Amino acid sequence: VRARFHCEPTGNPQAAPDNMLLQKRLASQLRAALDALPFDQRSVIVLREIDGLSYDEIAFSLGVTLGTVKSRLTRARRALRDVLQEPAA
Amino acid sequence: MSAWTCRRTRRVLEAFHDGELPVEQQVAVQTHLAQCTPCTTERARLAGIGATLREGMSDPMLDDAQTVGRRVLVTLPVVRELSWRRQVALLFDDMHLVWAGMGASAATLVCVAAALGLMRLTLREQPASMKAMIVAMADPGSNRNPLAPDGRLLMPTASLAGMIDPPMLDREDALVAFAAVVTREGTIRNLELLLQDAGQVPVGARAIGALFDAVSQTRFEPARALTGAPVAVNMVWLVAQTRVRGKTMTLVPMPLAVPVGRSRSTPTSRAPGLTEFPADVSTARV
Repeated sequence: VRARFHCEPTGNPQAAPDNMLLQKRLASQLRAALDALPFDQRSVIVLREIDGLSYDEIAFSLGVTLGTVKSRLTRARRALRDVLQEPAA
Repeated sequence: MSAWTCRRTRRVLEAFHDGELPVEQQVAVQTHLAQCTPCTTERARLAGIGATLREGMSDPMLDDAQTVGRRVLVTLPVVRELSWRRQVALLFDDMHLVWAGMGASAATLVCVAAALGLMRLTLREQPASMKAMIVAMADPGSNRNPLAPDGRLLMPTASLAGMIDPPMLDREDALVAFAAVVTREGTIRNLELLLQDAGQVPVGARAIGALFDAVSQTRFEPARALTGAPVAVNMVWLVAQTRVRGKTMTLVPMPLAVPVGRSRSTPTSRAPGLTEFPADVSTARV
């Protein structure tokens, strides 16, 4: 998956535009998937993956328990993974 | 340390990816991943999601996402304050805590009930307790620690309004002694029969009861100390009842003429004209 979404330098000069196009399309799908998440899950995944907060920090910030953070994070990742694994339309 | 199975590894794979596992579990998962391709692939998917979120977004989106995160941190307390329904829903978000909370609440209620029960038992005043005895000893002249009457006290007297005439005992001669405490309020407490002497036949219980009733209902002016303060005193009453049989003399008219040759009067052991009438008309009580 990482190889699929990650831009890696290749010797082929045509690869860079293709990757940029793929990246743009994935970004669009990602935004849609993120927006489709419930607020609870969206806030947890953003705080974890974008802001880099730990579980304890997220729990403290949102006022929920550690178990709640873990379960919301699992559900959010599962939803995003399903969206990103779907073949691009 | 036994090798971890794939199932066990998958359960903590997310926490491993986020670096939230303890060191020993982190090492165990790492060891498992080094020799398990499916779990390594799953871990790569997790990493791909994060990487896509961070790297796949353009900078404006990333900034926007970070802004969203910060906005969440700022606005969420306000949202929490405003939405009580959300608060209630959050209470039941993790049922483990709900059950634990219910158990703790039940235990607390039991403890509170036990504490209240103990307080109720301990607050009930026990007359024979050490505390009650110390309090009574510290207050001589109180109803619990009455004084012995002596010359320094003004003795209690029955008030005229509350005086009740004691009933007659059912024996002609009787002697009854009883003790009681005349309280500071002038009432009678701890009435106790000390002695009864009525010859071979004792005074009936009904007569004693009537006597005690009369005494109990009598109101006294309490004994007073030199300062004038009312004090409780121990008193002993002695009731002696004696019936005195007397003779009643009745004057009978006699002829004035005295026969000649006869002595004018003949002393006899019995005076003429006097008639005895047995009567038990007087009863002396002390």
